Amino acid sequence: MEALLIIALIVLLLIIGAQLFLIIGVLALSLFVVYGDVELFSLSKTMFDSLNKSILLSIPLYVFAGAVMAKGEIAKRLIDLSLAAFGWLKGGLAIGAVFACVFFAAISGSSPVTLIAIGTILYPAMLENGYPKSMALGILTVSGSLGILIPPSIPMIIFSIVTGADVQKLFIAGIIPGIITALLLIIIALILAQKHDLVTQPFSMKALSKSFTRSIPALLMPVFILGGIYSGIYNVTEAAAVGSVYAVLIELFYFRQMKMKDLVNTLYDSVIVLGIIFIIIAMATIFNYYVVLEDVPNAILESLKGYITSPTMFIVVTILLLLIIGLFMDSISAILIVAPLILPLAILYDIDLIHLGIVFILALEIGYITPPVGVNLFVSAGVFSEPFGKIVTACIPYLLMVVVALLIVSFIPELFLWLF
Amino acid sequence: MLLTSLYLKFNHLFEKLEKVIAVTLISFIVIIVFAGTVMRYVFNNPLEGVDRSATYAMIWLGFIGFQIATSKLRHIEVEFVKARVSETVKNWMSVLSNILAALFFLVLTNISWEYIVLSQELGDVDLVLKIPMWNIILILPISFGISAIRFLFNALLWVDVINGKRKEEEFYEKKLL
Repeated sequence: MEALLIIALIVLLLIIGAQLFLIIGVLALSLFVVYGDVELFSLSKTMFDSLNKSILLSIPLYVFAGAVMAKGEIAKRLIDLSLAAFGWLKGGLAIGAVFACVFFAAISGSSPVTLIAIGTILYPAMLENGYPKSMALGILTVSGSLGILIPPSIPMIIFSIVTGADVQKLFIAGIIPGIITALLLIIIALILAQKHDLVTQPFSMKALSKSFTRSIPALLMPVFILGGIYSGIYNVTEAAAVGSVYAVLIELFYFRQMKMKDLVNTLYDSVIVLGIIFIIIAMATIFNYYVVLEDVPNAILESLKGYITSPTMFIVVTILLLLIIGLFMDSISAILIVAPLILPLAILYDIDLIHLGIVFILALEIGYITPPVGVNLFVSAGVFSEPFGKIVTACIPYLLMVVVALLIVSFIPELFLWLF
Repeated sequence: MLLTSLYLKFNHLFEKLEKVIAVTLISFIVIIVFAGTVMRYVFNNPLEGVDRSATYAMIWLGFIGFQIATSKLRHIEVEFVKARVSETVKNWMSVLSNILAALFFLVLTNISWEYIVLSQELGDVDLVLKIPMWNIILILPISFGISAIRFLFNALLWVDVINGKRKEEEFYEKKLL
């Protein structure tokens, strides 16, 4: 009876469109009230302990650095460079969009930020050059989702907190899958471009070198962040601080387009994004506390051991599970809830945690571009003022390429594991 | 209507205060972590307590960000049913979800206060910064309490919209991030 009441309450919350953190939180609290054997104040302790981790410091710092660059000159200069390098090709703007997203993703930890920063500038340019709306919408929305795969990545930080995987290794491991996904997106864009009468720009070495020179401060950003982490000079959080300070300094004193008021508003927006993420982490932690107390992961392990007979089958089941969950949940919530449940199985089948992390991130990246809860689809609909359904359809060919990338990195992990 | 109008005016002022605190805290975090990095790697002279101070500032910042996101209706909602119903039904759904959220956070305010009392009784102290831990934990009941009030008023604001006394644009601006 109690179980039915809990289920009814959660279904009600889903139907009335409640906040995601509320659904997770009410589920967790109901489980403790009905079945739990602990004092309720311990939930506050669990919540506090889960947030009392210095690695989480990197989240506001990467969100802030990404927001500064999105609002400042860095994104514009990366786009100028991409256009100068690829604008002469048929489909060059689409390639430029992918490259700009890859670079921007390498300095921002978020997919929606990447999409907004690059999409708002490139979408009108693509339409002016004869690109059909469907192609421009599809390539920009899907390329924007590279933000969580190419380091720095906020979902990777969350995965490392939940599973204990080395976040620095995760960051480095994300580079090759990111490049593979980008290349596949470029291939499909080039194939689709041949069907349309697209305008190309004449190639100019002078324009390319000028754009390159103007972009050097922006290009140095991933060098500072990833180079510093990879060489062991500083950790992920310190890299985020270095990146933030660098972004502010070059935007304020080198590019000089950003005013102090813009900077304050960017700081404020970053705090709101942190708040949205923070409460989800807090609620998911209470849920996980219940799951661990009741030994649910081991129960799942015992019940699935007989059915999942090999590491390959485990990866297949994990991918399917994440693709389904990614339809309804954002990546951070999905990681917080699913990762602890399947961790014992991953250990049983001797799956490398870095491999598992990349599978998680890439599978959940697909969730960003699949309805009904695809964050990038909503962002695209808002930024480009196009109907949601049109954006979903436009993404399909590119989405299929991300699925191909997911299969490649899932079943040939040696492609990136050789780095360690 | 009068009550919600007063709330909107007061909330507008309170948001300004929150903005000052939030911007100060995030600036402090950026500066202190950066300074700690420079001191450690360039001058080989680590600053003691940087990690702990920044982490505690982040905890306060995260919860202040949460209550601001509540005020600005910026939390992620599961909208796949909501998007397919009429405006009136949608607004009633918002009323109900905000009331449930207010109740939920009242419970959390209560249990986090119990945690503070326990922390005081046990004399929990941060060993590096030598400050009582309840000072840090205090943000939980503060933030949950403020959010409970905000969710309650959000529900009343949606009732105003349903009764045609107010337009949602007055308090609700859908932002993408």
